Amino acid sequence: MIPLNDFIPLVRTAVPRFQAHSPNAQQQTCVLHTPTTPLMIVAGPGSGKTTVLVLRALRLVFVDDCMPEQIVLTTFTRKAADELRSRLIEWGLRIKNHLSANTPSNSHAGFAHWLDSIDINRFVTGTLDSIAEELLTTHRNPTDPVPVLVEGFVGNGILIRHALFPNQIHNDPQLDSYVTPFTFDGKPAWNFGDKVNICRTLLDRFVHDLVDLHHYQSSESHTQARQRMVACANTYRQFMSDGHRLDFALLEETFMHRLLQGRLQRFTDNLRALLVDEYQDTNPLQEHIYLSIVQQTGASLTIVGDDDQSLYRFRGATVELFRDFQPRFIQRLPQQPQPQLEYLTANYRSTPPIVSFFNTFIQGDPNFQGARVQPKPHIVSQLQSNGVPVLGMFRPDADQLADSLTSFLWEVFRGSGYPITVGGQQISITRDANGGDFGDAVLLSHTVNEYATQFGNNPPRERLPRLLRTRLAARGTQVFNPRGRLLRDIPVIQCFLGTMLNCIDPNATIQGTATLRAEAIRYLNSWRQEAVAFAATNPTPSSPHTLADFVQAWQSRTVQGANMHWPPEWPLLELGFKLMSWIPMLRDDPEGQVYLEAISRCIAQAATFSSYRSTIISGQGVHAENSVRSAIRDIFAPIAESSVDVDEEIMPHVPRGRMPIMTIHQAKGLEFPLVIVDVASDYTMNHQRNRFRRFPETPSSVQHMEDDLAPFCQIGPLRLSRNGLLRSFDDLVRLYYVAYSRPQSVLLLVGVDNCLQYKTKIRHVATGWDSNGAWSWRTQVPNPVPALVNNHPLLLV
Amino acid sequence: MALGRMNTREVIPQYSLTGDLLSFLRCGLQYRYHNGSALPPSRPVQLWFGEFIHGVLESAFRIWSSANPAFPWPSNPTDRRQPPPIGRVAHDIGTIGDTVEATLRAQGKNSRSHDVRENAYVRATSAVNELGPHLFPLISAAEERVIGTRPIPSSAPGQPPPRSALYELHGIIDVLTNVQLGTVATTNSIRHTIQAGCPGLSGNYEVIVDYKGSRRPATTHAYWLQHDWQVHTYAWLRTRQPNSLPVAAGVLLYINELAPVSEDLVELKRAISNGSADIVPVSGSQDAYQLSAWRPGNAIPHFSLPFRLARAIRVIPVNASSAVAAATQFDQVVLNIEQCVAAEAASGTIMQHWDSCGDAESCAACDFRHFCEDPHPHTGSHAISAPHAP
Repeated sequence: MIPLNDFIPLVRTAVPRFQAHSPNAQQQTCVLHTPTTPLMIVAGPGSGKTTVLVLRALRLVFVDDCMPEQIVLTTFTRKAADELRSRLIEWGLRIKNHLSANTPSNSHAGFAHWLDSIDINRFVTGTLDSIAEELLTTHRNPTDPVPVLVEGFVGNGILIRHALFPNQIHNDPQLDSYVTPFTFDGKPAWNFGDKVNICRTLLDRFVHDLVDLHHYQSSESHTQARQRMVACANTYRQFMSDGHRLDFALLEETFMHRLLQGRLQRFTDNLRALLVDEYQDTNPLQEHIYLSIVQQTGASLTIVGDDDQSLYRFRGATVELFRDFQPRFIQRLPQQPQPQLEYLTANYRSTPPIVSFFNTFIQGDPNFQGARVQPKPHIVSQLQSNGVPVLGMFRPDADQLADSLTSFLWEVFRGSGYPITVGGQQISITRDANGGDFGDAVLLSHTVNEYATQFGNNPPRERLPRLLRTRLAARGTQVFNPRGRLLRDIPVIQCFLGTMLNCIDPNATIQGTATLRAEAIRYLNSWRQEAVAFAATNPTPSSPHTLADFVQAWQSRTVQGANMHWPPEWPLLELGFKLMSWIPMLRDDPEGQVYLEAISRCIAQAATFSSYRSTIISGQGVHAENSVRSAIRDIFAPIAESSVDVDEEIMPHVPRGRMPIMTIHQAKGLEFPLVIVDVASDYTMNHQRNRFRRFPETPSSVQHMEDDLAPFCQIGPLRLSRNGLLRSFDDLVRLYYVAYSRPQSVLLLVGVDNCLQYKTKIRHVATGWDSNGAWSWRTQVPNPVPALVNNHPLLLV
Repeated sequence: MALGRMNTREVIPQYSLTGDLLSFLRCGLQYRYHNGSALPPSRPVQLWFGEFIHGVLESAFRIWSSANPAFPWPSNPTDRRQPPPIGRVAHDIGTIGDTVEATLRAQGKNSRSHDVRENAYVRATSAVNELGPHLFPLISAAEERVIGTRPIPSSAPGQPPPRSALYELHGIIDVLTNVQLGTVATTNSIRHTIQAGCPGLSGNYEVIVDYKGSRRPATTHAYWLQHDWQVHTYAWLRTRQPNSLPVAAGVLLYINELAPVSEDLVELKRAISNGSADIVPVSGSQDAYQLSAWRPGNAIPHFSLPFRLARAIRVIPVNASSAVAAATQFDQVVLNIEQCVAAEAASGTIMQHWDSCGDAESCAACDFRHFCEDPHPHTGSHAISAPHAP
């Protein structure tokens, strides 16, 4: 081992990026903190928490004689885990190689052997779920099956078919009444899909929140509905267990049970340190896992997070577990040393004007401060100012906004720069001289949907992402927004799915006998029409026959080009792969691959629960028709009802020439030179329907659910210490704090200009309103009041 | 005021030896679609069979380690669409197979046909009962995860650079040690084959083992060399692990050889006729007569156990320099993959940057053969035609 005092100098010498810039004092304090006392690190945006986590883990190896395989590091996403792991390996190897070539003079006998025994690849890294899955597979009894993880679409397919329908969920007005507060807008669930999503959320919460189900279903309010939900939960669990299946919630629960039963001793016996990233997004079950591990093993615990960046309440994240970590740890593990709190407040990402802006923002609402870790120091920029203040671009309507924003982007990335005037001086915002492109910018919004929800028979309104897409396309530039359109609305997917449908079910004869919801029918029919129109264009290859010929052959189940019978069974996926021959985007475009993967994943996963395993039967009586009906019901209809998500992580690179558009959630953890935050392109009026997105008047559905479950789980009272409405405001503040802390050089807020009127009715957390209704961007003046609000912090362009 | 460039966070890519590198060597374009885009295969036949065999052997070893039931173990597979036979013991191959099949089914993987399933059980039974008694007593560590980091070679000037300077390579192997080898009978086929392949072995060493759900390749086939590299690279990875001993040899177990089917015999006869079969029946033996007389359409002969074991077990001697040399070969493969990734990222298109290079068998079964611009035999003059229904 090397002495503690030598560790930072060693890092500085061995790792090039620290040669010029040493870890700062706060980072060093965290890295060098004793492993015998739990450490809680509150890490502001851009403060280098990955650096700290990695160096702390390496310190445990090189100073404290832990082996990498004895150290577990968890974080929230696969990408974050990959990055953490890459830094561990890269820096760990450099340190190891440096020590190998420069043995310290005061080293002990056996130093070389010790150094050689360190395998940097052995750190246990991943999300808690990936680590749990690996451990449950490796440490199982000889006759135990390998657990199979099912997610999303498959999990819901099983839930619907094997739990909800058997328990008559679709047919219970009392249940409808019970779940109404949990819908998006507080009105009764208007389609079955919504009800399924709510049931899924409830079932996951039962597990994540460690809900006492006996107590829950004995409640005097909505008793029957609660009992029905518990019955669903039990039926679902039984089915999953019978098939050796786990969803993510059950995976964590199983992991916890095995831990408590002592069945993971080979893992726990060897564990000496646990480092948990993004702790603000932990749920009660995960907290139980982490603290149980510490209790069983005495492992050194380090947690890192930022309560101000907790965005995942809707997925069960419980920020209170982080905010109140110290007292909760002490209460649970009174025999252990008490946790110490450290802060990382130096920001290496953003210029001073941007840091000042988001500091002011997060401190603006007096009601919000009680939700935060106390005390919460403000963030300090470490960069030089580039002279560009926070900008604002607001126009009378979304079309004009899109026009101006497109021009702005064009001038920056294809022109000679966008001029602004600051304090009488002109500054030109230009792209990086060395290959700067649209990929250096991002448009962030609460949602990236290209169309707003459709009402009645009016065509759906085009939102800013769509408006930007069409304007940039007119100039030959694409956007990258794979989540912006539902799969069912993407033209190439419509042709693809419609062609498959027309192949397997001519004239929708079998479709007409399937029990489908109206939304699904509408989409399936629309896809078929698109497919017919596409075939009419006679796409290549058209020899030795056309696409239309191919479809016709399928429809009559007549083999083309060979003298043989139509096969009795044909995988639907194989039909799909053949159709790629006519659809270039699906075979040659990385974004097309993202869509294709979602569809093919859906088909492959449906095979795990669909009656005919995603194959089309021929010539076997009723099975032929049934197989088509199963495919329609289990594959096409769920896609039509938007139950299938794309996985854009499979796209290795966003091409630099495309303009990225993402939700604020997706941007968490990322940084960009230029960030455009859409704060108000949707808000032309103070419409009741959009208030919950900017200035809630009633608690959101998530808060309602937390409140409903509060009496039945240990975490409940802590959540209720702030009422639902306050918690709804808290979530909005955090959302925009994350957005505002993404940019490196330029932050541009955009929207429709109604929200900037002095007398505006459009209150919005993002534009400086606090939950009391006070507006920091406005200084009250006597009449006649100005048209434009008079204290905003933006340079308007 | 010039904006900076978006930081591309350098992530060290992770590669599986079998899942990635060998797949890429089989065909670059197929690799891109299946591995890069995670497109599932339409007929996961190989996947099902290979994973079934691995699953059964892995479970069998666990059962053998904990309860040590005497060989041969019974084999009473559950008939399709029937309930399991009553009274089966926990170590019945049928019981083990049911559990493995259920896991695969839950992952959407099913055997293609009744024949494939039946044959899989025959091979699994043979693997457990004929190979198990020789192999299981030798295993000192099962399903060892081996991971290592290697530098990616630099690109040639003008070629796109890789995403990272390093890559992480991983695999899963079983490990035998000299201790175990020394304690089993000299009649142990695996011990015997190792000693024959590596004469003069002494001191403390390890032998690594990998199962292959395939036939023994001809010595002229690309797979022969690739499997050699694989063993050497696993050996290199194993030696990176703390507390490991020098690796003296690698053993590949070609499970299909224990119960060959018609296609296997066709290939074996072809290899014998062109001199690329390294293990052939002893001249004048019953095995030789049976194989010589066999034609497609005939029943599969009952080959002797020694012949089948000889065909199934391949020993590859390893030393430090051969391990490094083989790992270097894979470094080049990784560089090739990384250059394809970079070229695709720069151009925004896929097909022109990933080589289709599959052999006849791979292309015939490929999901993307219908629009592949250069399928086997890769003449460069292929004209794409519209695929036929179905």
